Amino acid sequence: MEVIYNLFFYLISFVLIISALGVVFMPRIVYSAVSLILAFISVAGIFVMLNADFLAITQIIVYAVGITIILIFAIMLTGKISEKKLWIAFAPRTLFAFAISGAFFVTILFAITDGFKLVARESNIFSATLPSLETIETLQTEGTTGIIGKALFTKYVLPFEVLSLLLIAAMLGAIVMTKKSGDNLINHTTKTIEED
Amino acid sequence: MNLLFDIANVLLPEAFLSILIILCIILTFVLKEENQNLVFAAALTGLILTLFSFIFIPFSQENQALYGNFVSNSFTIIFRILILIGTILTVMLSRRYTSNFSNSIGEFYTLILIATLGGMLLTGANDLIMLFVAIETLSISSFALCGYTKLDKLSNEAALKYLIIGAASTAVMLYGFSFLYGITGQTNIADIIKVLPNYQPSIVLILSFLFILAGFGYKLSAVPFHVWAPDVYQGAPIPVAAYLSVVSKIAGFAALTRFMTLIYSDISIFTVAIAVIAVLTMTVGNLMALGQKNIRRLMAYSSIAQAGYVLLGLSVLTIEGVSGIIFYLIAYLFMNFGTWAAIQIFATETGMDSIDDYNGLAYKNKYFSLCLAICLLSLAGIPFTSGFFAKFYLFKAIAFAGLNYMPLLIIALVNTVLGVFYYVKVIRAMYVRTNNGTAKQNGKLKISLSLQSVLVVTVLTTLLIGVFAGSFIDISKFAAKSITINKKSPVESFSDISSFIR
Repeated sequence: MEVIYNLFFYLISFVLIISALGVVFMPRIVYSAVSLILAFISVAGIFVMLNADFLAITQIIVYAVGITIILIFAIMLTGKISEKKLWIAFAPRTLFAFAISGAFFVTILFAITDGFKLVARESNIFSATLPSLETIETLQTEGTTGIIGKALFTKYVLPFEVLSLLLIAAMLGAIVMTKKSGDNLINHTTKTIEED
Repeated sequence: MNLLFDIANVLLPEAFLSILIILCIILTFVLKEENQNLVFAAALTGLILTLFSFIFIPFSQENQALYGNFVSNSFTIIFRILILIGTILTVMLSRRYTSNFSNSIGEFYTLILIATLGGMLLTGANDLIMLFVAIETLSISSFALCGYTKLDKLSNEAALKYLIIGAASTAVMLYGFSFLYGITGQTNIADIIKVLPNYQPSIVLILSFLFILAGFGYKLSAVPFHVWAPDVYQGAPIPVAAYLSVVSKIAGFAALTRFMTLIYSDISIFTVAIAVIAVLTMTVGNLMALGQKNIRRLMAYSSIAQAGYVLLGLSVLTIEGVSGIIFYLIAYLFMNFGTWAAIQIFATETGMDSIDDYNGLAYKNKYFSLCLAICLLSLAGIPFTSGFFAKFYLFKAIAFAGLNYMPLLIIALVNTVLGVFYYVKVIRAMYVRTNNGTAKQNGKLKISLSLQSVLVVTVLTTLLIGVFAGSFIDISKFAAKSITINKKSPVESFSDISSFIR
């Protein structure tokens, strides 16, 4: 059982890393978008292995389907960009970006392995409150959807309600930005610059 | 855990505000374009009613609401009142501004109200998820408001910069939250505090502290997370710039102060990290402000520098420091809003925002120049204005915190002197220089009633806080008492800051 679990974990992680690298290094932006779908689905696979079924389904519906389709639409509608070849520029800034992200990676690794002491064995940094075996069993048999639903309407009801207003704000902003009919939304200062 | 009890005792203003938001949305879509100004009236009266609803909330006791998601005590009440006052001033400032729009007037006020709700919830958020949702409510409404004048190139640039840097910093902050959740297995801050002492301090905890500090630093435009501020303040509509530099910052400071003192006051690098950011923030802000030609960019760097002073109050980690923060922010709200109101009046009437355009303004508009000068002098910290007492009280708290903090105090004083230069530059332009004909501001400024009242109210309050500083200090002292600083061993935390700075 343990062997199969590990096998699947490494398989999914391998696909995730390869497709994530593909997003960055693919020559065309459409290929990058397709690679992104694969990366999102692999993340969903990892969620499944962690008994987070609801999260996995949400990941697929929202990210792998919704967001990437919008992305591909944007590529299609903006036209010329899809034909442009993308490649990492050989410039000082690339080196700089690599250095920054490398340093970030090393810092995170240093932190979660407690100073490289725990590379070989499993890290126990996050073990302050591991779920009990019974909890894990409940999760595996009943699924997480019901638990998340209950939590949303009891413990997290205030953030849940505020989120609805947040969505209204996002929607209002989008409507104002895209509305076309005869508006003159312009700054006072700019107006006079144009008059000159 | 009664819902009605919670709302009546803790969340009454927020409930009023939510109803007001829904009302404004309905009005926006029902009213014709000519009548959209009714939304302004509705928003203003609703906000004032919301302000009065604080009477019904117990001021001196701590109440939790909705499963510990929100805490109401004297500290959060003070900050929620400040945020509401700031919003009322913003709405009044927007009246003249939005009258130039032919449509999309109601949405402007609605977005401001939603951002305010986010800010008010941010002050008392007692759960990592609540904190995150509140920050996002504040941010996303601000993004939309920044890019509101969408035909304007600078406004577009401002919105895009704010959005991208905001998204990145939110991601970093969320990563910090995830570490904290991983360590403790709890999202509620009260539960985290219970679990955390059993936990061996590790690098992960420090890393989560730094990440969350970076996320808040973006909201407060602290150096090195400040790069968005000048462009956004220059490009965004002026009421929005005022809102971001005052209300958004006050909400950020409230959340930062509560969150950091509750959870992280025990870790070793707390003082050093915040002191370094504070020193960097005020020094870079002041130095960059010296060379600015545009008054809105100058105000951006000035507000960066002011955030540095306030962060100093947090770095000393004492109750006096927290009360210094509160008093400083009370004064900051009015003096900064006064300046922005003056900039708004000048920009509306003449369409200019360069400092050279203010040349010789005092000869034609005596009272207007006087008001702007008072606000600027208060920001600079000249005696007998509220800014002076705020700085004095804050620096006193730092001086009394211990000899270790002496270098910080000296740097802050040097910075204060540095700050006087660029504030006085504007005053000199108005009073000493003469208008050599290039500037277009001939004749008297015709100031609309709402703008006039904002300017007069803020200037008078700035002066009044200076006169009655004692009672305001008492209020901030009382409010600061409800902050608990979970510091176990003061000896350890007092790491040698002076060696670090040198």
